[in-house]
Amino acid sequence: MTATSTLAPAPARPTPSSTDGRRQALLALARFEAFRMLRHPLTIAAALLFLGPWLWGWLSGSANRYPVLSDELIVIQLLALPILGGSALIVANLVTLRAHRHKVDASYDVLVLPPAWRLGGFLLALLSLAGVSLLLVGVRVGVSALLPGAVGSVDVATLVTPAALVLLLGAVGVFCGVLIRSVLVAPLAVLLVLVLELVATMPSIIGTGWRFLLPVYASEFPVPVPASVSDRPAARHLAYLVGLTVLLVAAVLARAAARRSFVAAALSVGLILAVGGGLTQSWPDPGMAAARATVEDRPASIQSCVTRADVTYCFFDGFGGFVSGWDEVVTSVRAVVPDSAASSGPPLAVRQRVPLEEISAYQTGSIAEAVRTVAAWKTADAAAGTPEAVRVGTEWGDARASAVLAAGVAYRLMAGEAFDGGFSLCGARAALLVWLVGQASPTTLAGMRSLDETSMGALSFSDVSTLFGISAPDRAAAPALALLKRPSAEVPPLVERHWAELTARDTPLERFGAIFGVPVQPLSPEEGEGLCTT
Amino acid sequence: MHHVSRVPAPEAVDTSGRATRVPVLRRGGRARTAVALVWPTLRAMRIVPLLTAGLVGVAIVIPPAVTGSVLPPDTHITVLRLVMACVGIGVTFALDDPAKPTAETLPVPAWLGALIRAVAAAAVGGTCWVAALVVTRSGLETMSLPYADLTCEAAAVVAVAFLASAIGWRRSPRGIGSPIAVSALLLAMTVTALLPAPVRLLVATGDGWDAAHDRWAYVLAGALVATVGVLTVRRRRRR
Repeated sequence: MTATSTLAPAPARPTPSSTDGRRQALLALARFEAFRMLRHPLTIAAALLFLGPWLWGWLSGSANRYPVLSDELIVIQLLALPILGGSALIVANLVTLRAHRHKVDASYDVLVLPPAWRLGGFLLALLSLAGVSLLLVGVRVGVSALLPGAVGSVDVATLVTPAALVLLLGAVGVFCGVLIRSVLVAPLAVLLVLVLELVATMPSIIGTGWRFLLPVYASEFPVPVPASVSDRPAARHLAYLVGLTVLLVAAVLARAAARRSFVAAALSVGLILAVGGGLTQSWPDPGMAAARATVEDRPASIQSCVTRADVTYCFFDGFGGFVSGWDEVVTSVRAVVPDSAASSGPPLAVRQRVPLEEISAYQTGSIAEAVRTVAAWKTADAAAGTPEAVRVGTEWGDARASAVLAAGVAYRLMAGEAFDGGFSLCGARAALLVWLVGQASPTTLAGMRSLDETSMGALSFSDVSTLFGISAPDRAAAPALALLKRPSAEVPPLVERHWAELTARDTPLERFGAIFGVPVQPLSPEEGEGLCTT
Repeated sequence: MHHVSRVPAPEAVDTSGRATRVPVLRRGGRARTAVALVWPTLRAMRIVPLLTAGLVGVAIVIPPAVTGSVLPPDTHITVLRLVMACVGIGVTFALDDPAKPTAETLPVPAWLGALIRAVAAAAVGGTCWVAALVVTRSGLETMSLPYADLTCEAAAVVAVAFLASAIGWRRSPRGIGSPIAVSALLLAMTVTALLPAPVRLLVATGDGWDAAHDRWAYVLAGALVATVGVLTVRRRRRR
């Protein structure tokens, strides 16, 4: 080491025979480093951590069998950035600093490759990490896309984005190593990436166009929405990320005194991509407002409908995968109501509705407003040939969503009309509804228990995607939940015999208690019955 | 250096030049050794990474406090957890010691130097953490954050970081354990972030908070015990 560094003047670099020779050496170095990066413990651990929770979800049976692919890709990006990207950053940084850490950088001067070519080899080796992340993401998305219940489509630009993120962070790692020769910088850079991710998911950022300048962006709606109304400039964002990576490569090579023409070319390509992609991605889409109004107010004009048995299911473009799941719940609820009631009112229909409330502008409206909105929806449904359609949201696959739909269907069968929003149910009807939902299937029962745990004062059948849900006060829910613990053979005949009385608007809760012999809490005087829907 | 030379020399040296069991230090002698060790150890310690990381941590909490933006309490907690991570990363450099190959031949037990480094790291890291808390508290609506529990979390993170540093020191022949230690700490953090609900550590304020902080206390205790083990257990001699 000292022998080379004390030589004066600087040692003459052994000149390779040709650029071709250098290129071969560069490729050999890139191959070697790619292999070392791939077998680095951090890379392997990151791959395991990326796949582990997902595999566990499948093994334990808690995975969602009705994934919305476009939203799943966003989640995967948010996961891939810190795990795969963070590990690439650290590994690339350690590789760049290896010579420095082992104090042999001075002896590198006698090697064939000049520093710029050597760094080029490191940067090329990053492609292996990007390839692995593309493979990992492909496995996760591919398995989801193959599910019969999968909805939406996979956008190629979104699919490739995690690999681009890995490349970008890997280049950041090399850049940090070139700029500051300390192992400390890379972990701090990873934390900075985490801060950026935190910023990307903050509601105040999600409302603005700035969010696309961050490496990842979150969905602007709390629930999945049809593809036509979500603002996701995936291809332009990908160009922006690639542009940033090329700019970093130019900076690394410039620092290592690479050929000027090469650096200038990389700089201009990077600038064009980064500035072009960065500016155009936040341009508002002129047709977006009209598309959102259509989805929210007149979904019938863009939805397609299928009929299973005698039930019509209408869904947004791409959401057809949910129909079999909805059908299971509707069938199970109809199985527990008496035959006379199973087709009360107009022909049963289920229509998908999605409130386009952006996360940034999230606010709770008044009950009067909700009732007005639902009335307008009902008019639109009647005009579209599906009067009194039961509403269903854009999320499916968990027990809670099943319980919410089951409650909507149960109300529709009890009252002969769809729930019109507003106040909570009261009296025997509320208790009967809770019993019907719990009796329909084990899934809806589990979903209802889960909803009960998170609601206060009343059992509220609403998730984020279906506003204006039905709710039953705890006083009415309690006897029904007690009744659900009875052996299943003795209750249904009683329900059938007293159906008309139980579904009447003015039957008090005490009557429900008397029919089934379950205790009903007396009404506390200060509480009163509360405001009930009529 | 003359401070150290006052320490009595080992009586027995085996053929490889390594000190065999050293019954040299008498009672009182060890205290004097420790005092003599303080200044050289502090001078040899890599305090700059710890300080840099701590300052980066403090810098994270400054924007929300300065801009006066009202964040939900859970966001403040997340930001403070990032501060902990920063301080933890700095602490992983605490035991880096290029002199390890020579120090191994000294009759001074390794844990004594490590203890001095631990106290120094705790002082610097603690100062950064307190600074971050003061900055956070000066913002809007942050008076009622659970600062005591968050400090317990921070202590656990720092203890795990020091454990990683000890493992790195133990595993690297040249005494530079930070590349291993930082990677191990970041891995541990990722695992922590991905823990399933029943054993989750990164909880938001609410129902599971107290139970989660019992688990944090266990992590803290476990990390301390493991660190003591890593630093004191003698390597079995290969024959």
